[in-house]
Amino acid sequence: MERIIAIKGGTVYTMEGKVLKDKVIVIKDGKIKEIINNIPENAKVIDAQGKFIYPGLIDIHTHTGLWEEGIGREGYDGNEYTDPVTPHLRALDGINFLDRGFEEAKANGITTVNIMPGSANVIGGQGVAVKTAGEILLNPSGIKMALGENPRRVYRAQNRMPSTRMGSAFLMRKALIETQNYMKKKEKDKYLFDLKYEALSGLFEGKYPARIHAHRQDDIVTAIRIMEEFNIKAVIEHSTEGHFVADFLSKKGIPCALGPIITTRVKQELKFRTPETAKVYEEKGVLFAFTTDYPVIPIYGLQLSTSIALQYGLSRETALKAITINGAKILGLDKRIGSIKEGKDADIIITDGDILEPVTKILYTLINGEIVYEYKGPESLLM
Amino acid sequence: MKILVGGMIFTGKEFIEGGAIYIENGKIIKVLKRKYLRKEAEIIDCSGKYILPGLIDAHTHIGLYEEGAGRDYTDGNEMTKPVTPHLYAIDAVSPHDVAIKKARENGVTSVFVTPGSANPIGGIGSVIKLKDGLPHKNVVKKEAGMKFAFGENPKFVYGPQKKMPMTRMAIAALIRESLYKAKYYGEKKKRKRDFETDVEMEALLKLLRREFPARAHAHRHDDIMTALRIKEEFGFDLVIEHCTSGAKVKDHLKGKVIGCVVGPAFGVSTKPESRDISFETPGILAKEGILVAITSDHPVTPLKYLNIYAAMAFKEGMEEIEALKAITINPAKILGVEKRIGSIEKGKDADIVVFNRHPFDLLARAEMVFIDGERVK
Repeated sequence: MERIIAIKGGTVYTMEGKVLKDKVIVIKDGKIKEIINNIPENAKVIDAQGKFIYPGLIDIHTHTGLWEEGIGREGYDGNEYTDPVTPHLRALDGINFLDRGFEEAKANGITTVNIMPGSANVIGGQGVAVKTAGEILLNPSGIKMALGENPRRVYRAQNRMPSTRMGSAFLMRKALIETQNYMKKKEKDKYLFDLKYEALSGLFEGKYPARIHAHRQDDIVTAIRIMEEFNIKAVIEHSTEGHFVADFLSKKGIPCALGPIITTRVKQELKFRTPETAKVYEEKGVLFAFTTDYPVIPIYGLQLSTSIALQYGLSRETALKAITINGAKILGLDKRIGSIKEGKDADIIITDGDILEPVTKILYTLINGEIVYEYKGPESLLM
Repeated sequence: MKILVGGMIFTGKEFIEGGAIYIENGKIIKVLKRKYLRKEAEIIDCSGKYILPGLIDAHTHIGLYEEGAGRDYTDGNEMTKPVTPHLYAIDAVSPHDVAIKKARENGVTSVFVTPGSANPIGGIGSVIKLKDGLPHKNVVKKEAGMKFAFGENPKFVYGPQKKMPMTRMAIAALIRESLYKAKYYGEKKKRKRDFETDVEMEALLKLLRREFPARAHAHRHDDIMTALRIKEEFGFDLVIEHCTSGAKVKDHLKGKVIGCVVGPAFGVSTKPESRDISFETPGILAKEGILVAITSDHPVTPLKYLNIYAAMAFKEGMEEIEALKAITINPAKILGVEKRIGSIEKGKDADIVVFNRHPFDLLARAEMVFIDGERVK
């Protein structure tokens, strides 16, 4: 059955360079069909007169459903700290797709999340990018790796390597060298099979990037140095001290997930956290997207992150990009999501004001043309 | 020859009233819809009674946790290693378990006995009849399924030891890794001369060759989906065990699994993954056309009340015939033994129970029980 939806009126931030006013966005078969002046026949109309329209928001670094809400230990499935190198683990296998986090994401305008294993392991496993209404977009979306305090803390407590940053870097290199050896051997021995090395082979084949958790500037640079040694594409996750090495990041063309910027500096490696990092990235031309690291902070922290970064000098245009199209680009999914453009997925949100303002409410969230959230007044959780 | 005459016969498919069942040499040789008596036979009058195929539970640990015995007598979980496909539950079934007699006297004549759910890959289960004597002598099918386990149990057995698996991700990875190993082992075995037999891989190879299904312990919807994903990746047959949140993913189960062994529901949810515990689930799944068996998970709940668990499912919306099938022919099908047991039909083993009332009546008693034509009660 053909279903046509028309979003009528409003101010449309397409994220394609132009802001449109009082147009009609026509959605058919889950895609944005066209942006025109008149409502087509038989269309279900969503009146957005006086409202604001954006592409669905994207958070490229979350653990949605992997650390479930309100369950406890039984619902923690993100960190397998029994072995520091576990590239064969898949986040998808640990996700509770009925976790409340997905509902909250939709209610807050977030239509795509990248879900990755945690940062206990030097090589943690495979991430997966999903629509918050359920569709798997990209699996694997990358191999999660981690430098800095987390792996060191977790394994030092067990008297195992890595108990230093040196140990983490060594284990990362070792796994990659072993993968190269494996790939060579496999050319001759067709019975050879190792799930860990198979997962890492994809990095060498350019199928997906390494997504490396790194807060401190030296960890950021170590990550990039190691990946360069092996000619592997890198994305820096968190990049808390990125402002110190923004020139370097820019020169190397390394994209960054930035955040969560709304936490206290609970670890030494967060000491130099500042909301100004985003502004520095903008000035130096670093491609970045905000992240909540959900459930580290609530998913609505994504919208708040932009507001705070604005106070510290980030431009409105870049702030918007950093929760929409930039995330799509960093995931390699910008042909499908991240902007309002003919042919793209109809992932669209309608708000009652400027999304960069903290008081702005999400009125509608559409994913693949379906209304997956509609504002019906403030939800009370008081019992 | 014995002839059971009269009463309501549930054949495994439907009820027949006032018929006759002919038993000879341990088999059912004839089922008639009308009474026809032969002089040389032992006539057993069943007027006013309910005659059913001997009940079957497709998921038990009978004999592995002997009733009333202590910790030293538990043999269900080999918690030393998360992947143990080469273990056989039958090697640990105690013939002294009083639960065998109790269940038999309440009309349960065959069960699947399986390793527990501590290990992501736990081992092989067998179908046995609940007769006296060594379990090996009562085997209907020695290799009837490979136990897998997803979710909380393996996590909490190994995680606190800082051993894999600590997360659901690692449970899946261990299973996947083992199956890949078995796949490559199988290919190597076919072609290479310098070949060494590996007992673990041999067991998994049988699963990949579809000699028996994987019996995947999965309570929660996401664990069920993970089991389905891995099944699709390797193409083995799959049965979902417990299936507590199965109603939430019923559309995905339909046509993809051999069946679901649902239960035990007679209890309180003691862990997050069994929050959706309910006697409604069997009926909901059966309505979708999914093959459903109802289980006691003995000794989690007592096997001898299997008919009451089916009655509870009936009370919560399952159709009467479906609920009866769920403790007779359906488990037989899931176990791949439906040619021998699970129904009252010509050629089948004469495993029969005669209840004094409808088996869903709380006051029903098994008055007579036959296994292989022998009266055992």
